[in-house]
Amino acid sequence: MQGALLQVLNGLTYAAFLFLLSAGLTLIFGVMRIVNFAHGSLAMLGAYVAFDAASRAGGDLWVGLAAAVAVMVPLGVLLEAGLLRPLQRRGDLYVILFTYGLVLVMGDLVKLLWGPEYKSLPRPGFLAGAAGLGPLLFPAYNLMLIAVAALVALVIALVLNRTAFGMRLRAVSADRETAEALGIHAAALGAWVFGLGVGLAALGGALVLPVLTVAPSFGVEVVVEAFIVVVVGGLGNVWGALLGSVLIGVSRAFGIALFPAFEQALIYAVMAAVLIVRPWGLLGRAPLERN
Amino acid sequence: MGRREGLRILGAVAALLFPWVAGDYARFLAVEVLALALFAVSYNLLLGYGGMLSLGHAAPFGIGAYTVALLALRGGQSSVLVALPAAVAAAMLAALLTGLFVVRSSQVFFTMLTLAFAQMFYALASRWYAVTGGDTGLPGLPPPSLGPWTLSSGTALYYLALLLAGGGLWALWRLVRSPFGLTLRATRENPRRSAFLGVRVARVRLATYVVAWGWAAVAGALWAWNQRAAFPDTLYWSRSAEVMAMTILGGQGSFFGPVLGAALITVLEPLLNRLWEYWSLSLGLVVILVVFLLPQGLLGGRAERRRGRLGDVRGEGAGQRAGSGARSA
Repeated sequence: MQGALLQVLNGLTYAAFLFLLSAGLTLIFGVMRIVNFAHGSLAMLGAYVAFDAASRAGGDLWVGLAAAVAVMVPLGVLLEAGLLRPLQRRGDLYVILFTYGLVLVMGDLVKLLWGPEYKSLPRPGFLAGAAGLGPLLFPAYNLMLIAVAALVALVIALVLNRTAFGMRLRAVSADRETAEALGIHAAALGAWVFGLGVGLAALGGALVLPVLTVAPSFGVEVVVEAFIVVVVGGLGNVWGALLGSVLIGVSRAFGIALFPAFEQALIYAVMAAVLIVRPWGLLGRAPLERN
Repeated sequence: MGRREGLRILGAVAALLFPWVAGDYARFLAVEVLALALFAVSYNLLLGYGGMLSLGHAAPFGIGAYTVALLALRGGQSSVLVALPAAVAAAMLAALLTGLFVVRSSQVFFTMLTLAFAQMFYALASRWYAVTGGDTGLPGLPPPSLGPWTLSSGTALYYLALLLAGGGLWALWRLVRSPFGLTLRATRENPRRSAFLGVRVARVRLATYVVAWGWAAVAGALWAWNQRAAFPDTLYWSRSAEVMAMTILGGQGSFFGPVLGAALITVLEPLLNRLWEYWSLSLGLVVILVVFLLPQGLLGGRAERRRGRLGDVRGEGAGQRAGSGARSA
């Protein structure tokens, strides 16, 4: 029983990271109708920036976090406005190809800049120990990670439901053409959402530095898992991303504990099972058809 | 047409005489080019003709490679006549199982799911030590045999590759020009209208997907015989990226574009690797440059002009249309 609870907590820790990654992915898809294949690689770049900044500041994770977000959000906005938006007119195929090209470039770029070794950071001092949860001892840092993801989910919920920005975002996500006809500048919204999504991914990448190790293959590994999350949850739906993250994160933790060699296979089995029952994901709807 | 015919005959003679004038390394590279050309053309059946952007085409390639390697090393069976049909059958079965999930989904889902499923095969190959040898893969593959002969020389393997790649290209050429190929293009151009006309879009896509995986397995088997090994890397996502880069560099709007792309990238890789070790960076830059500067690829524009001359008037470029499925689906 305690072991199972421990695995649930392990799963939630990973789910927290997956949610930070897939929330941006799914919001970007909702607003721009593109899947950002480079999302995992941008999270990885964020992690390396955080590692670099933190190492210069004597291993201080908070400096790294700030640096990652400060570098990656403007980069995301520039990427969208400068390269992705002109390309979107040419067709979705080219957008996918381009973001995939970025994956290839960034994988080697971090190798070029920081070397092929695994990178990691120590936990900050006051979170280094274990926290007691009833009879259970669990790393305090992991609990903080879960709390951060929960907080981010709450903020996203408030922004989406309580602000004008969120309302415009939902409108574009539901029906882009009508929203534009009503005077919403969907393209400008896209740049903001892209920047924020990349910022969240970078935050996620930086936050897992003390928990996971980050290497140049990190980008693709995590983007595949983020894809599974959004496919399971329903593409374009933030709550789907949350649900998918928890489902995949916990399945993965139990997979590692029970069949260590095939934890990946278990995740794919979950994905296949969901797709058989609900092809558009747990909370997804069939896309609007318009010709 | 006299000049074209002449060039064709000249090309055929050159291809047949090649191994007698080339050295060992050139022969090895030529087999690699032939295998990857077949791989890229099978990929373009999905991308160029079906409008399905797959990022998981490494899966059938690796399944082909692993099937012949497992049969030879664990089953003692290295006959081409047994191993090749087994490789194709294994890949087609895998295509059928995963295809049921991926082909009914729209473009973006298709792309994400193909990547995810291909990574599943990679995870299996790199972790299942008892069968696949895990990270070390399956080295030491014996040369394939064909009837009473063992194809141990580079020349023999070259002719096998020429036969298989040539046969594959011919079969795929016939396929894309058959009524089925035209139906496939119709589903790319407008899936809804095709469905109104009575085409079973999902079924056409599934059949295409299965055929493409079958030919990719032939390419993978050839590649494994040439390398004398199968590694988890054979299945890794970067191989899917490579075949995609080859295809769009050559031009997904033309049948032979991917052949040119495969030849260029295969020959370029060892040359560039001598200069620096960042192959994926070079490949990524090629992809990005093609996307921005040469969206039709090297031969795509040429195919377009010819279609225009024949009166097959279409609003946009063929390559551009490949992406339009996403919006309507």
